[in-house]
Amino acid sequence: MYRKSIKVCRDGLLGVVLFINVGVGNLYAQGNIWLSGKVYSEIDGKGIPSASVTLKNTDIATMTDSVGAFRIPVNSQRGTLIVRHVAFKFSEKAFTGADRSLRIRLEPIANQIQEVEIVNTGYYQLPKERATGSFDYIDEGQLQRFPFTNLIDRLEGVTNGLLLDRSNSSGETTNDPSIRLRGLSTIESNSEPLIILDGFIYDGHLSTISPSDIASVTVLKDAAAASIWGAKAGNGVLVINTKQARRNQKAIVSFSSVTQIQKKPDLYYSQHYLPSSTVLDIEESMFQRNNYRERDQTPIPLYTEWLIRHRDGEISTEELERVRNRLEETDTREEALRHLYRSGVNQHYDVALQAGGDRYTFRSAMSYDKNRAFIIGNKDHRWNANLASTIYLSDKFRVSPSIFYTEQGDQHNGVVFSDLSAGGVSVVPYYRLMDEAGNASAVVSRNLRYAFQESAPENGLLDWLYRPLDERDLVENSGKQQESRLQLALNYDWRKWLTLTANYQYVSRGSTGHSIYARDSYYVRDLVNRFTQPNGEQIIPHGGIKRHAAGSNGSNHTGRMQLAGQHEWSDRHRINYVSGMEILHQRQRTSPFMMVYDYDSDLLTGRTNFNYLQRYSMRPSGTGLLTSSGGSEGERTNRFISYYSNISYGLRDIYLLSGSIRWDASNIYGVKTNQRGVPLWSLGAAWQLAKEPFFSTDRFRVLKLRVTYGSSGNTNPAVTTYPIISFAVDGLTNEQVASLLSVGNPSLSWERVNTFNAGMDFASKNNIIRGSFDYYFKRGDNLIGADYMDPTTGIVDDVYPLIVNRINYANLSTRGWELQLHTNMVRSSFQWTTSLLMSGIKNEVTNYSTSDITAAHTFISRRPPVIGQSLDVVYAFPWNGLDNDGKPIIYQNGVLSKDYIDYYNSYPIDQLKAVGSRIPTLTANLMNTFKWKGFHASISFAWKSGYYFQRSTMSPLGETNGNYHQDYFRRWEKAGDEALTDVLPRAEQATPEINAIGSMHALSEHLWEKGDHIRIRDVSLGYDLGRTQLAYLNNVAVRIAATNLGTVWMRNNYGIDPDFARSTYPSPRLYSFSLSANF
Amino acid sequence: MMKNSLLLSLCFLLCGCGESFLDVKSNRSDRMPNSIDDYQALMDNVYGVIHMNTSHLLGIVAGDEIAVDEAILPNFKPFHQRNTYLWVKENFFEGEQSKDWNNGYRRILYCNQVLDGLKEFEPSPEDRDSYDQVQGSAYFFRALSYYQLAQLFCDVYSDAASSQLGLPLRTEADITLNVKRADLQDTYDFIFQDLKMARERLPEQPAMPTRPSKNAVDAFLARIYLQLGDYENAREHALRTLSKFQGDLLDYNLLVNDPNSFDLFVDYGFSHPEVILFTYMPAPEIATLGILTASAELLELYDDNDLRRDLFFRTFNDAPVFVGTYSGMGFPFTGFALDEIILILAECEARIGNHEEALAYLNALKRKRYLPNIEDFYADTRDAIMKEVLLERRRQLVFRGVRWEDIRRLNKERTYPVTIKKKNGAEWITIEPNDTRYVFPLPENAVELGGLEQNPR
Repeated sequence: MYRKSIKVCRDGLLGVVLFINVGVGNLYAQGNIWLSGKVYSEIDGKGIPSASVTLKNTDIATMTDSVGAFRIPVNSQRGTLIVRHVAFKFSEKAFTGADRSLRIRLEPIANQIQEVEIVNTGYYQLPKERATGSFDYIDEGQLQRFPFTNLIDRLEGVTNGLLLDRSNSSGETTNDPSIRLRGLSTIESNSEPLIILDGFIYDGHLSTISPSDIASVTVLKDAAAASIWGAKAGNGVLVINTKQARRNQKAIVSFSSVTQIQKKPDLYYSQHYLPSSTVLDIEESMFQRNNYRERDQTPIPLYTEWLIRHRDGEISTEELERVRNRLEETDTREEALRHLYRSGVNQHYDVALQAGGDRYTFRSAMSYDKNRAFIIGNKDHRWNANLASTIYLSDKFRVSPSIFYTEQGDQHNGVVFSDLSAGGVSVVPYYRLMDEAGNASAVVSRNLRYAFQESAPENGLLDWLYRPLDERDLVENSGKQQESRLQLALNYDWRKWLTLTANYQYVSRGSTGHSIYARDSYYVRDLVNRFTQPNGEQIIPHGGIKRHAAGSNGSNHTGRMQLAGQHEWSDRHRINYVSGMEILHQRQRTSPFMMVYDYDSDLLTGRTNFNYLQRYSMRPSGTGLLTSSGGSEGERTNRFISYYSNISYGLRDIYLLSGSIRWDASNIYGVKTNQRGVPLWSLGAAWQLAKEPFFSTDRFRVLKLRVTYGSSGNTNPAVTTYPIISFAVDGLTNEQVASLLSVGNPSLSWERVNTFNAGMDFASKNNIIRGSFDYYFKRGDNLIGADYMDPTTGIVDDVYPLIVNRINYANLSTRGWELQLHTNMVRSSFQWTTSLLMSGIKNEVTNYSTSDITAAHTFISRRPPVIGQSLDVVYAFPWNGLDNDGKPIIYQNGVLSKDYIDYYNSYPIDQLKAVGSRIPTLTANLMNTFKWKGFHASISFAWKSGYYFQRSTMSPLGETNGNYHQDYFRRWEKAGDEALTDVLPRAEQATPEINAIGSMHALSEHLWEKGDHIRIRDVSLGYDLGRTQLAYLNNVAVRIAATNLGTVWMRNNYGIDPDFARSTYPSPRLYSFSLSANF
Repeated sequence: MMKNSLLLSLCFLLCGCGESFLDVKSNRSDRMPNSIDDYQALMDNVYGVIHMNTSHLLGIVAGDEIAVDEAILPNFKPFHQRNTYLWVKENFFEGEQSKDWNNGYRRILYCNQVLDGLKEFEPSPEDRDSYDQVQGSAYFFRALSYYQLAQLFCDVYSDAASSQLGLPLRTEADITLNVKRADLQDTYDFIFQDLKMARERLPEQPAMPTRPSKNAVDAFLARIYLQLGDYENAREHALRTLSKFQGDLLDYNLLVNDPNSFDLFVDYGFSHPEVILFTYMPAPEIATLGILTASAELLELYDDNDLRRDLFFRTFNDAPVFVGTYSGMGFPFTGFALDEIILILAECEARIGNHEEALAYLNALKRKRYLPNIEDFYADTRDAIMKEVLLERRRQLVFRGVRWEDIRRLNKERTYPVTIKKKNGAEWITIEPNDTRYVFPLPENAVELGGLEQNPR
């Protein structure tokens, strides 16, 4: 009866796999021995009453008393006790005959201690203390800190080195931020980290995943951590794990609900604004100067239309005065806030049931999100449903099928403030959106003159006026996305040293959308009128129009075979190994958009039988064809095969070595067979200094040094070594024709990212302070990018279809550091924890080999890589202020000059000012959490520094182009003003010189402001009831939180939030109320 | 153990099929060109590349056929089109690229790609014809592209051509080669060489008007020789075309004038009976109506009996727009057609001194362009006949890109010089025949990135 027994237990919250090796030795089954002990909490050291204590593999059991003490009869000298309590983690404790009084520490479930962090690479899991690489582990508690609907928002601020670059948002459009993990390692290939969801590459959108299903996120940062993911891991990896049930767990139903209120946006934030009276004055003076061209196709401001009527004798001077007075009292921003915006309301509900028996576990969850945007007419929703289970067919063999389904829908029928601009950057400040009688008022449309539109009915045309408030009820823009994931895992624990797993995943996703324009919508009326022929014939019928959006659908199959195991000998050596192969097939299909005219949304009838080839006369001018459909069918298939191996060796768990190797191959087109694959590897070592016998000080519980080096890669499916042509049908001859997409580059090779990482983890004995410090150096070699070519080669970038020439042209190095510091002060029942995340990062182009651009303004706008400079650096013309004529002071070859045209066109590039990085190079997050009894409160700050943002200003002809800016009041007006201002004087007419001055001013360094700022990321206050009087109700928690609270300090003096430098308004404040409970 | 061996064998199975698993095309519409049909498809890329956007934009905007809405000029973008219209001397491109240059050299890249690719082939006897068609097409369009670029960016051919600046002559698809400007003599020699190769390979008659044929080569050679002032050769090639071309002159008396149509020849599509080779260009942006507007000077050339005055032009948005293009889809036709060949013959005969023949050709065209029963044109001096031929060229070859070539060669010759006059607001712009601005500057990016020598301006 000498045997080793292996017990595997899965911890539901962490997905921990602990290998516990117990019960080795002789068995003396003679007589009863009484064993006593005490069970106490690891946190506060108090005894735990009512915990069950069981002798393993027997029926012998007892309960602890009110102070946590127990006494249990045992029948042997050695054995294991199992201790269970609902609020604490399950624990096993081995004893020997020598033990007479055991002290068993239990770890509370709700307050997990970071030291048991398990890193999950997606392929295998291991305790962080045995890892050599650089990992970040984000547990459920950190993810639930603020209940953002999108997972990525929840990661910001709790992941060191993760930066969400939102500079791609401007005006009122908010795009998904681009994600940078530890900066950049590529120039033109995908620069976002790889997402692994439940062990598989996830290429969908993170917003598809319901954050309430996420148990943890592991961030793999360096080569040792990430290179197991090979050619796609060059930008780091985010490993996301969903919640799982655990074995022998009683059924729990958990429920949570979140309600969020978002305030109306701050329309008073934007600087692109001038008061009504100023704008009216500007219009009057421009009108007197004859600046407006009275043509049907040119929009003229509304007040100027009144001035024209007055000039033409249609209205009296008194009436004009009345109009002016009324407009002067109007503020479009007020109108917009009243009629276009509301408080947003987001609702989230989720419910999950999980249970585990001896032979099965399962978890089933559903969640529903319903978001009413702060823009009236916009809303979206998301449904998630999933079921994850494991069936233990034998002690060695288990099967885990699971299924996930998501459906998302959105409607965006709203009209926003910026829609009111008639083509310019700014909105006319004197618009009224609703008249006294409650009817929608008309405003000037984007590309037609108001007076022309107003006169349409007289000319036998349909009403042609644009009334924003009517539109949102007449238009339906909606989109829908679906995704299903099916997974099956087979696990066979053959021997301790060999576990076989086979995994398969199928993902299917699709998106569709449409726009339905009602018969009376502006879209339909405008189109019908434009195509009304001189003889009055309507080419487009006056009925609804439906536009089926271009659709896409895709599917992925992933299969994986893996062998893993561990071996230990002499109580000193341990090796873990994993090896496997993976095969991935991704297919994406796209379909074109299509127009259906005369559409009746009740009867679902419509027409497409028109002559789309005939050129019709259009109003007010020009000719055109009817739109039928656009885009083309497409199908893209990406296939990958990978082989990987990872091995780690530990000597007494003090000296750790790890190594990995991976080979990736793909069908990326045109690559020869022997060039398809790329071998990637990593090596790592770690030293648990605190565990060394000679390390006598007991101040450190953990002191670990680690160093890793290795390479991973980056894929760019757009590259090819051979010429590539693409087929289509010619629009004229209907013959099959080919376009050249690439001339091919025979010397093309894979991108490779080599990463060096050195780090230290530390924790004090009492755990009051712990943290880590990492230094890393990444070197991207042979980075692929589009080459700017001499147009004489035929590679031109302004005519379609484009031929893009991609070459391996650059090396980029990125270096940075990361510091994490957590403190935990406990004073009786009061607990104060802080966590500080800080990181610094810099990148530098180290090799670059394309042709140069010689025009300074092209150089500024294109920002080509320059050796020795950061890839994020921005350039500008130097700025020396204005002279006493209100013109910029410029120097050519060191001599004061007045030749602005020549200056703008031939300024030497090497004398341009390199302003600095446009991306923060130094960031920090500080979170403070206070706990007292069931209450907890937290506040989190974010600091960004070491970067610049560009503020807007007024151009010399700005106000004549409808581009109003508050800088108008700071403009140069008379000699002497140059001491006070950098804003150019206004110009009455465009001349080449004014154009050159304006263009150069807009590209000058004085508009770049330091972006340094500190903001309150979020605050929250909560109360955990824990167990309630009602036996079936547990873990009741309530929480209120707020985010988008703005900055507490900014470096710039213009009141511009650097995160929203180009936006019409910052994200409106968001309040959240959440409630959760277990049954 | 059973299960293990099953798993392991599955593993090996997957490894084994790896090679063919990766042979699938990533983008299903993409492929490496590897057959004659693929290369033919590249040469057939009418709408996107080869036949559209011929390099005539600068010439048409600068020339004396076009009228534009002057009010839009001050802020008009692209800037260089305004600068072209106003004959601005300094800072011509203002950082913008040249569509003429870009499209021209892209066509040359396509042709070089096809010629390089075909070298790898040894066609079977039954593929010989299609192989020759593709190869001939590539030589033809490469010659055509260089010729069109030379009319914009090089001086008019003269006896001193070997000391005049020509074009960078790219003869291979390899984009890593840096090619400097050749001289003008070499440029024209290269064009003739390509056309010789094309003529040897192309069929007598094309399968469709977008594919070049021997007829198209001869029509093209007639145009080049006329440009070079070699009237004997021009006549010879024009005659060859005339004898072999299967189409005929269309009698405009038979046309129906639909006042609502923007295309007089819409019913013919791209198969107008006079078309020898079909190419076209979109109206430049500066033609803000989407259709080219004729200058008052051009409209004055048509008398009351001339059918073309009402057929070619329509008043639209108060402007006389040109609707008589042979493209059949509203875009200006820029290829080769029989009417031009007849006019080349008339001019060559007149210049050589064969007045009767000149008048015969001229009247053959006129009879199909004027009301019936109008008396034939007659003059007894070479000068009078020449003047009428040149006028007839203007009346017939409207917005074909030919006018720019004519102005340049006539000014070089100085017998019938042209002075262009344009109004910009209150001021008149006058361009004398010997103006250096008749050669456009090379686009800035070509000079900067390719290190090319810039033209004086």
